[in-house]
Amino acid sequence: MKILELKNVDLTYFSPKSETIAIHDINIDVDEGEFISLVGPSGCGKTTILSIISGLLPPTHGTIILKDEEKISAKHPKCFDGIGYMFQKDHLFPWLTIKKNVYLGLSISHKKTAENTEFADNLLKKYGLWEFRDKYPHELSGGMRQRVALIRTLALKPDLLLLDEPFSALDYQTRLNLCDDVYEIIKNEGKTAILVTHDISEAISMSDRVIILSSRPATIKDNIKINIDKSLSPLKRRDAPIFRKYFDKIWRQIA
Amino acid sequence: MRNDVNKSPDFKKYLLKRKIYSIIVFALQIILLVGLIGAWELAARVGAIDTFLTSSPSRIFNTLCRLFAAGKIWYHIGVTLYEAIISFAIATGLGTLIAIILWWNNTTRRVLEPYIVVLNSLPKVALGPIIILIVGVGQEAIVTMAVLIMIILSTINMLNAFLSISKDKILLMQSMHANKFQILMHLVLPSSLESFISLLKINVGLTWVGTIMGEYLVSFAGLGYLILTSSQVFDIDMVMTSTFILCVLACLMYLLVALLEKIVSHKLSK
Repeated sequence: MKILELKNVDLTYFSPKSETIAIHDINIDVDEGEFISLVGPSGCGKTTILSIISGLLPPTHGTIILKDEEKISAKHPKCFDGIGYMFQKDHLFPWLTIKKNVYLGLSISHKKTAENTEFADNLLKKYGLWEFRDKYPHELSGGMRQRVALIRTLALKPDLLLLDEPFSALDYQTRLNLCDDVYEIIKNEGKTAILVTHDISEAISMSDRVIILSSRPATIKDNIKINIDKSLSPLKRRDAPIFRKYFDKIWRQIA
Repeated sequence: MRNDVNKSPDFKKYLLKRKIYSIIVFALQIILLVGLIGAWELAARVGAIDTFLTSSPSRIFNTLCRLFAAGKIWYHIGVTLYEAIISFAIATGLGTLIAIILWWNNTTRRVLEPYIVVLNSLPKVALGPIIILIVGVGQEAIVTMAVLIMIILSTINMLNAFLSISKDKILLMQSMHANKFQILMHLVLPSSLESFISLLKINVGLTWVGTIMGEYLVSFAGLGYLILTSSQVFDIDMVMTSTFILCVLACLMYLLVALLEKIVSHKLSK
């Protein structure tokens, strides 16, 4: 079942001196439960596409269909329901405990029911963060903080996760481990995810499908289905013989 | 580090070295203070400087004793302290409030930007005569002067803090469907606490500048009034003594804010 469809999406930025076509004629379909990566040269507009999908940035032309519901770009851009964001930085609030950070979305959207807090608590327990619930973010390692950030997002039970280079601020070791953790969490919870990254290996190891974007204005260059055993963790998938071939294929199109 | 028994000899040596160094620094600070006061007193005693113009530490001390014995000085301290605290509170509060309004509404901010820049560069003291004409010659004039000196700076300081919050954090709040008021309460204000504390530290100094400036301009009581009237009759002991009391008050108020900062930062890094 399709959860998201972008149809002929264009975005043009206007400045007093010029107009810049940021992205052009983007068509993307995402099935429920799929893990998609967007890769492309830096500055090509990957993050812009995420903003458009979230509803916060209305496209100049084109339509967005989210869960069979056509979204018309409103006058006051507002985040669509069921969208969860994860950023390069964890953006945990240093003045709140881990638990309160995780509850943040619930209290803001007035959904802090016993059922929802229990759901959030269970996520913390399941992914080894429950014992840190009363600690403050600075007492946790970078990898743990990103996991908390993901759980904070999941606490709102989003249908679609938008991951904007969530691993690129971490050191390599942490990054590989966190990739595995985040992948496991997302698959366990049965979420659909769109990952923006400039790291080709990361994209291949985590995704069902990799979409390659051209440099600005971003258009879709290729759409590659990744056929590596889905039961393997991202780290193990890197050892698959075919991994190298995917890497070369994608690398050649970006460079 | 937590366990005293497990300190290695090298570590103990390091700690001792650090301790000795900080004792030396503190001792030098005291020596400097005592030396300066001593030199001043000595120069006055041997007649190297004219005490009619410079007074001397012993004369200041005597004046201090006399003033506190008479008791009238408390009234003057009270007046100035009241003005300083009221101005401090109004300028900090109002400045922050204006910053919130400017953060909230982009158009208002864009429209008012040049006015704020001009007002910031204007020497507020120049407005003295206008202030007297508008609010009269009471304490209101002094508070108005002090508030004017602080408020623009307060607004700019807080607005910069509000605007420096990362776009991703705001995006995060929006993805949780936070409205503008929630973004303000849950993100913008708590993030700006540090800037607010540093604003308090700036204003705690500026409020004395404003208050004394105001008292020089128009006053019937207060430490600034004492300094001005005594200097007019060449009572230099009184000028020096009032200035000394002012120093002590300003110091105490600063220490209070510094203490507040310590409590807040301790709470944050708990």
